[in-house]
Amino acid sequence: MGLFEKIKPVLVLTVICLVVTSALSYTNVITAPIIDQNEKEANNRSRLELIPTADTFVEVPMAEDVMLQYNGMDVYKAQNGAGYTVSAYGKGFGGKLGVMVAFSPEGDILATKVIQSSETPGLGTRISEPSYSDQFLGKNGVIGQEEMVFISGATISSKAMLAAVNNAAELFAVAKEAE
Amino acid sequence: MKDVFLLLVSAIFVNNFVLSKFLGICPFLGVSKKLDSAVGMGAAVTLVMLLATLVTYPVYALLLVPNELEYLQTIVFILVIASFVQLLEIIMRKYLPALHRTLGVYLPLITTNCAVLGVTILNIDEGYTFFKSMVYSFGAGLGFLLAMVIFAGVRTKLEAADIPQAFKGMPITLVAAAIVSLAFFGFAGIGA
Amino acid sequence: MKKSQIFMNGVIKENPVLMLMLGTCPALAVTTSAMNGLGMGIATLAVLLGSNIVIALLKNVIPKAVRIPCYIVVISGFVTIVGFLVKAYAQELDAALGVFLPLIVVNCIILGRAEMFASKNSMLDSAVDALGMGLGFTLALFAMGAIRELLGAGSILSFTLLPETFPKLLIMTQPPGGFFVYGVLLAAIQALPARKGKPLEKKHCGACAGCPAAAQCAAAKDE
Repeated sequence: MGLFEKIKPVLVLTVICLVVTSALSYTNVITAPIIDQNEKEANNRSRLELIPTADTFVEVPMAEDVMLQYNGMDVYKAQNGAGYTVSAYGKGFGGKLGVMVAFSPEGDILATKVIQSSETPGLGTRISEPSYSDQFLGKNGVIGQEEMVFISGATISSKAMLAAVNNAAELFAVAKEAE
Repeated sequence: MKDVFLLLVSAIFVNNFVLSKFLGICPFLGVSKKLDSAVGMGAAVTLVMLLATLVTYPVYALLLVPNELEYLQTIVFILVIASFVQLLEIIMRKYLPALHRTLGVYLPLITTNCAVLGVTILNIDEGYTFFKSMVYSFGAGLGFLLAMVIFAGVRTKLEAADIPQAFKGMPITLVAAAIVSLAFFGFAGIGA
Repeated sequence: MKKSQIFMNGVIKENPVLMLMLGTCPALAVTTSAMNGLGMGIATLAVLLGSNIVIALLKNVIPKAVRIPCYIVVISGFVTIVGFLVKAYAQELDAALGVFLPLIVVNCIILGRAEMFASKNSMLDSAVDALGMGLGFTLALFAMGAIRELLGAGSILSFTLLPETFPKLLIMTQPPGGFFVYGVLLAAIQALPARKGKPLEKKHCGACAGCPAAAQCAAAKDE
């Protein structure tokens, strides 16, 4: 009895750990594919929104050093040749600012969409409004600051968006070159 | 080097753990009445944040990721931090009694502190390297310490102030915290 | 105690956020809109319900010496499961709650109820207690979210209520606004005639009796 009393706490804790862990792995097996699917669908929806004439998108593979340099960014190509989308990031007022940019095969910007933002609601978030974001349309290559009219009161957010779009343009050029 | 410095500054001022991320509010409101206890608590949190990152980062990168067990992150992190803090407390009491008297008493309080668990999870979520994680944890701890020290000063002033009945106690403390937080809000956007 | 009494206790008399001042981190951080407050409240309620039921069922099996680690394992298990479900079926909420979703595990309301209630009462009573406490937490977060959203964006649950000409106090949805709204809410409660001018006091997690740190914790509390 003495020995059992001594190891009982350890035993109970171990059993509880095992039961909880198996319950977690079971939930993980069920929900992981759904989470994965959701993410893909959400990204695909954004891509289609930017290039409505596209059919399906495939990721453009990139060299390892490019992947390292543009950490977390990706390039997708529409299979019917309608264009490309690039997800890129800039440093905003409230943190990371993610922008998806659609390019024509010639490299002209077709559309932009903010996909991740922690900008101040009502101020920094105005970068999504056409009055600002339409300035990017039709531009080709890296855009200089003098080409843009920034939103007064939200200069940092405006510049962050410009930086993200320019990052996208750079990565697009690299990807295009490699193709 | 520049981005490491920016990370540190942003963790201390711009994204201050207490005043803009709302992590560690319990000790912030609970142990900030006196300056020396505020400093003790802040220093203990900084120490535990650094050590927690030192332990959890390798556990995540070397144990969980290779075995595809990332989903056990929460449960493993909280257990590792809790047992590690207990261990630290025992070692400190035995070998460093002087330090234990000043910092040790706060250690058990922060085992289940959301700022400590928060910083370890954020390190993984943000994809920082080990070195950057350590810098970020250090900055987060210093930011917490700074907020505690400033707020202890504010609360000392409040003690002597004539406050309407309804606002006495916690309400005025929170309103004062709002004003301190407003001051830190001015840092937003720096480093962008 | 009657079931209805147990239930209402958590909603009003011992409302975790507004009366005991527990769970302040999520209460301040995620209440930038009524919807986020509601989502966080429901996620916490789900975890609390699960952990209270399991711990009440296991109360005779878990040895005293290791009960806090056992509770933590059970709670973090439920937190992870709820996290998966939110990620799979409510992605927008997942993005809004961010790091505060896994941090439900250190919400002291949950460990506190495990130690104070579930470990001493029947499964059914513990479930009722969890529902009451969870609802109290949800209502408090919803109220804070609604006030902040109304003042900051002129809407509640995205329904515009204030006219366009009404100035929007953007700061209310920002961190300083969180502290401010919480402070004013507590002042309003203190001003209630029923309280007879008695100030509210911040409670510790309530797990003191079983916590190995109780002595030190009390020492720090006294200051």
